[in-house]
Amino acid sequence: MIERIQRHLLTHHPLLWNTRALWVLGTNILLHLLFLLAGLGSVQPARLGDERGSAAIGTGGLVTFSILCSLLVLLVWLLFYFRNNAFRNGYRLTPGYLLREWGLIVLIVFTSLIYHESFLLGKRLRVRQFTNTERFVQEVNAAALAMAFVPDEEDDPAYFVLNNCAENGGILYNNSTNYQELADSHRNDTSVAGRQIYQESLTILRALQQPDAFSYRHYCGMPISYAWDYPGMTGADEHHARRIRWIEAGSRDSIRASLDALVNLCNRYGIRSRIHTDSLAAAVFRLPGNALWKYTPTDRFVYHEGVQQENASYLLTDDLRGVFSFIDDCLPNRRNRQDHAERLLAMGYTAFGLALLLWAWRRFSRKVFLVTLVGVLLWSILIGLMSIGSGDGSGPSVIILCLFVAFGLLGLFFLRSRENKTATGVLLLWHFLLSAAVIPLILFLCNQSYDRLRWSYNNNELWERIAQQRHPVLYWIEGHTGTLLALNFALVLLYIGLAGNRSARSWQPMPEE
Amino acid sequence: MPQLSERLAEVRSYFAHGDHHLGYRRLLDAALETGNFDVYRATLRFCDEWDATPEADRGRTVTDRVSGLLALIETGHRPPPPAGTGPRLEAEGVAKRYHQGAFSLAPVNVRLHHGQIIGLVGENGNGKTTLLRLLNGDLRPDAGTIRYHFAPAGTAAYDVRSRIAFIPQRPQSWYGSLMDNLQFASTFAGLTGEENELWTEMVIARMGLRPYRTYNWSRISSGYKMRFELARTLLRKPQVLLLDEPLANLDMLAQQIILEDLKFLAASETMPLSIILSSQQLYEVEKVSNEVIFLQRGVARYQPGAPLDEAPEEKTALVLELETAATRDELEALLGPAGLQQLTFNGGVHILYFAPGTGTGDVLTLLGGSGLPVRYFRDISHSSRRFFVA
Repeated sequence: MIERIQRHLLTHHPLLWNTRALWVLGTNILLHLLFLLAGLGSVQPARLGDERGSAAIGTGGLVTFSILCSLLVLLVWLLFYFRNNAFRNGYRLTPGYLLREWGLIVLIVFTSLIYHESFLLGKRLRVRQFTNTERFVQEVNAAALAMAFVPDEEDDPAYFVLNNCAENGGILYNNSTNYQELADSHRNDTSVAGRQIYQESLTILRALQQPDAFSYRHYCGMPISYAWDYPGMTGADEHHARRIRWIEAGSRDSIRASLDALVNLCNRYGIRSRIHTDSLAAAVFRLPGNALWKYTPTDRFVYHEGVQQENASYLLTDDLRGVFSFIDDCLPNRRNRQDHAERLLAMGYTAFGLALLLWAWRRFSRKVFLVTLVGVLLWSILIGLMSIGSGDGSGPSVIILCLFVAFGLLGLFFLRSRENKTATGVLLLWHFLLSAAVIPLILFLCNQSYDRLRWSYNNNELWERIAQQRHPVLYWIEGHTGTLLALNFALVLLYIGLAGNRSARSWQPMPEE
Repeated sequence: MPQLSERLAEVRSYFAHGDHHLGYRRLLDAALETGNFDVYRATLRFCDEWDATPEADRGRTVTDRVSGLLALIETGHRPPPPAGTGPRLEAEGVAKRYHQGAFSLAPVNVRLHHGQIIGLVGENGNGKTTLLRLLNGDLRPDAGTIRYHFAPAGTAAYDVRSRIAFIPQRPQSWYGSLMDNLQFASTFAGLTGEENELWTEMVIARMGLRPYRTYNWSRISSGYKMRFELARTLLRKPQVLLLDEPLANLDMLAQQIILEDLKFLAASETMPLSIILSSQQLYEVEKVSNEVIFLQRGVARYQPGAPLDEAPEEKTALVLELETAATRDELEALLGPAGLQQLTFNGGVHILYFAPGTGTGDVLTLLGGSGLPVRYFRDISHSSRRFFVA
């Protein structure tokens, strides 16, 4: 069967036969499916807590494994692909042959480099199966509400009496600061800032004397917060208001129900906890002013005289946050989509770089290829050294753009004059290797100008409107950098496919000496 | 170029006289010339039978099928399109001086016509490869012009080069099986599917490569590597074939086969190749060449009678190469009256120069009558050999 397909490809589609595209792309589809299945199978909700729920589940080993798979597939593919080269053999090529070959190279290299993405996709799909966005919002809201009733340390700033949930947090307490020393050190400080620090320190020291210095009433922290990414997330002030209502109404049942929901969450995600909801609910009302008195460790074990003992109660809050963070990474939201797009773009550029090297190897002689690489290393070092001195990086960017143009023009000149084959090949290759960096560098320079202008207007609130009216191009570029970078990928692909191949075709029959 | 009927009669004659191998090759030549895929199919079936039959039985069994196949070839023959006139490749005053080293190639003129073979002879380092690379476009001439008449003006350089096949002395290695490589080349000549299969198989059969179809580069000998290159060239259907020392490192038999293949490629009715080959095997090259260019220290000397001959006064002089136990004096005494003008001895053979108008037969008669022990005799009046012994 395989032999028959091979023979058909050989006698009908020599490009597909030579590039082994059918086989390598088939292998890639299979591997991507396997990685996707592995991703789907790698996530079990009840094990998330044990695995610390981090976004790193399976990533470390999987990345290595994925790289090994990529290397293996690419090496085996190259062994077959390098067997024949119709272009270098001087065979009569159909129009578009070189363009199609280039497209296939990019496609094969790209799909061979991103197995790990399929694993991540599988993971994301699996997470969305058991916790969709709505459920995630509910769970985060429930956890954020309940965790205020599970204080874990005596002087947790989140419970401090001077907190003001309505007005930018009030006076913030830092439990690692010695306020007595701070006050003493600023006692004679006459500066405005110094006086303010002194006054605040005294206020905090006075507040710390109160029996309810740390109280359930004052909690206005947000133990888990994703408010920007999901509609429906309850804010800190809303949670605070609700808790105050419960506390003032003495609603132990509501608090217990909230804590029960937290326990259920922990059970669902395998987060180790031992919470006595009744006693935690009762603790809220035990002291005057609802001051804190019961603390739940965040570690399961405690070491006492070298002996490990399990705490009577505990809640692994880090694990809980880790699980939510992991689920958040897997849900569809703008931030995640942007992250994925950026990662894919980075992989795309990596694949593109590799494909470009392969293209250079296939289209030009070994001598030209090696001289080009050595040259690239040399002038990369030189430009790198220059950029260390230049600070903002605009100088080296301009140099690279000038080199791109100069290499192209010189290469074209030599190509037309049919003089010096090696130098022509090297100049052309440098030009085409740099082509991928041209638009990113132009974008970089534009965005730098945009930033400079913004600071020249003191970055004021009207800047957006000013930029839109006075610098519409820069404003548009700044807002579409990601899209333009993705577009660059397609443009350079076409540029190499059309201009690059055409140049190589003219270069190949040039006399050597 | 013999007509088809003559070719077929020749094939019949070979088989009738028991020259099966020669007949087989000529039969394949005739079949290839038809350009008819039905004929190819039938011929390949015949080849299968040929290969399956022990050599001793071939005369009895396979030969019976030859008549049927020849009849099919006769009916399936498609007249080829009229061949172009004028040269395919023309070089005028092409000269080259290397930047490094003292060697330079003095202006050379080459005019290569359809189906013509030009031999390029000379010792090592005399400019044969340089001239071939100049003609192939690998090197830039310092003077002179090269015109490729098979490519219309304005044809892209890559397309021009794709119609010239250059086989260097040491062909590049290739990977994969011989069959795959040849089919790959065929596909780029525009043959797909079954036609590709049949055409490639026919060329493989003609080049005697059938037993090696699945072999790779490292498994075949130098002679077959060269024949592989010729097969690939044939499949690519180029206009001009340039070969650099194709006979080097080959045994006598392999040399003969390659030369015969070249003759076939040049004499092809449907796609005659114009060939330039360089070699040091002077006599072998002369046997197949229409014209020989001798290169000595970068200076070209042309064969007497050739269109580009620059030394017409030498046309009528008789030059003989003679190996005998007779002394110089004995030879001078014997051949002086027959017009011997000069006699040189290069250690192995005597070179005898006679006055214009002297006939070879006269000299042979004298030698035969004298009873001198003659071990070797050759008329080199029109051979580039003269340049080697001068």
